[in-house]
Amino acid sequence: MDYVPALARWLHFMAGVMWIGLLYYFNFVQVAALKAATADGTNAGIVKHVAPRALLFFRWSAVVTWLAGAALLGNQFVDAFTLRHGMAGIGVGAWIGTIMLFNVWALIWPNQQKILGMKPATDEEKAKARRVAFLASRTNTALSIPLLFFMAGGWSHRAVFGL
Amino acid sequence: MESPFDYRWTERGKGAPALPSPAAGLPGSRWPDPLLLATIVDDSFDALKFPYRPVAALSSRSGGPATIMGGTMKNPLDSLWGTIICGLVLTAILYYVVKSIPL
Repeated sequence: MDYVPALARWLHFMAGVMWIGLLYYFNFVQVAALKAATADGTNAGIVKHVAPRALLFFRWSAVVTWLAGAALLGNQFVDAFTLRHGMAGIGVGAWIGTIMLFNVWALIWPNQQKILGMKPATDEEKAKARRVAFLASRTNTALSIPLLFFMAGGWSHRAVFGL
Repeated sequence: MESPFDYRWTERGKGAPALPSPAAGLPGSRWPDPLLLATIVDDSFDALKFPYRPVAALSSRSGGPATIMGGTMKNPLDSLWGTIICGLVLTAILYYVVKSIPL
């Protein structure tokens, strides 16, 4: 039975690296690159070939990360989400991860579909979608900082941090 | 007597009577009006519509930048450093919240 949490942890880490890695790629690289590329008229390649692929792996790695995390919590799932029985630290991490997953599927992805032309939208709707997707993505970047603290050091080194 | 804070919920145009400064806070209090401080999170403000900017920012949804004390406030998430600082501050807050929860 120890195989399930061991494999879940492995999968959770791999998918999590892909999710947060792509999130950081969007925020630290693509936003600035797209701005520069739009200015000199070379943005078509990013919009057509890079962004849709990156978004595909981004949103599905988010789902896999969450599911593997839930499997890893196992019968402590409820304790984590109710912040009970010494599970408050990892529970806060789980809540942040859940909020981030919601942002990906409810805010970032639907608005990116409008921006990239996958869904019909007027110029005004595209401008609004761009702002909402940008702020949701930046919110997730900010949330990733406490997420990684509570998921990583805050859990395995609870005694060090007095949690 | 009219409450000094009634104007918060009223849209006033140009030429409206002068309003008391919310920086003065509650009568008899040495603290600034908490709603004045709250305007720093609001990024929507129509500078022409309201005579008192920080308070007006609370009720405006016109899409302009928020202003406080005559200066323009920016959303910290618009910059990468602002985003990182927000994350670090949130980490510190949540750390003390979690620490305060009994095992």
